[in-house]
Amino acid sequence: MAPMATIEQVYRKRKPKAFAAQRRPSSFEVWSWFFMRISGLLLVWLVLIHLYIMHLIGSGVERVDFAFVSQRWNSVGWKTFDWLMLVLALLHGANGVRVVIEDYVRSPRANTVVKATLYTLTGVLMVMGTAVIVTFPPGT
Amino acid sequence: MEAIAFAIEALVFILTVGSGVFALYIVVDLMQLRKANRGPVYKGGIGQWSWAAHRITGVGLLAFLFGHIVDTFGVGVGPELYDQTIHLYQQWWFKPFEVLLVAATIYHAINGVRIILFDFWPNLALKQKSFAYAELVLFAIAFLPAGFFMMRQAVEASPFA
Repeated sequence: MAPMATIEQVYRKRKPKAFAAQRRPSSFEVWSWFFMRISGLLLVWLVLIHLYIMHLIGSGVERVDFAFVSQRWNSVGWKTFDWLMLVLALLHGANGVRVVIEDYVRSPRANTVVKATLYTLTGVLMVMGTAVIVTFPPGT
Repeated sequence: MEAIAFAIEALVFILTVGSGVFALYIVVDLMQLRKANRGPVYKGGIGQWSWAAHRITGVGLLAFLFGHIVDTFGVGVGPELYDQTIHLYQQWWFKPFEVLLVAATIYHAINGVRIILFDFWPNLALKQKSFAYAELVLFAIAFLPAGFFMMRQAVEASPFA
């Protein structure tokens, strides 16, 4: 059996123009660059507030338990805050690591395997995180 | 339940060690590139180290986020599992890792804002060295008090207090 084609090989065959010598950056890369800036600026506030509440004030992480979380998640505001942070941080992080993988994992096949693993994990964790926030019953 | 909580704690541990290995890889890689004087590498200096630090903290933060989503998923399972899992973070000896996490976040945030400033106002990059040092000062101002309070909590809870 012939070895499986990488995503890049398939893409190269279908969109030869994207690999032309004087090509402009693909619009995906431009949007990814822009997304990193916008999500980054939002995450500065979201994450620093999160760290301040969870790790610094009160007795810090010592007081975090099921009762503490369920009290917070009784408020739709904190649920929204946490979900926004989840989505932005996960996409920002996964996209950052995608760039890192492009730098260090040079073999096309390994590159595809590692990136596919990253995207799968990201997808699974996105579903897990969203599910636990959305399905958490108010009044618990 | 105890076995699942232990598995989640093990996952957090593996991810922590993994990002440590990655940090080491980047630093060693840079050292070797500089020695061999080849490849797309900055010619040393503080700019190169802030690039490396941004990468290392970024990968470390995502690694922790992965573990943190899994442990928070335990909230949906119930109090028993979540309280057992979260127990790991509350050990006094875990505090240094928590402090590292806060340090990484603050650094990544400040350095990220610097990158954005350079992207939209390229002229600022002419003063990149001053920015790099100003950034370290800002980092110290933001991190040292937080690190101090957190370490004091840990020392009070430790057997050495």
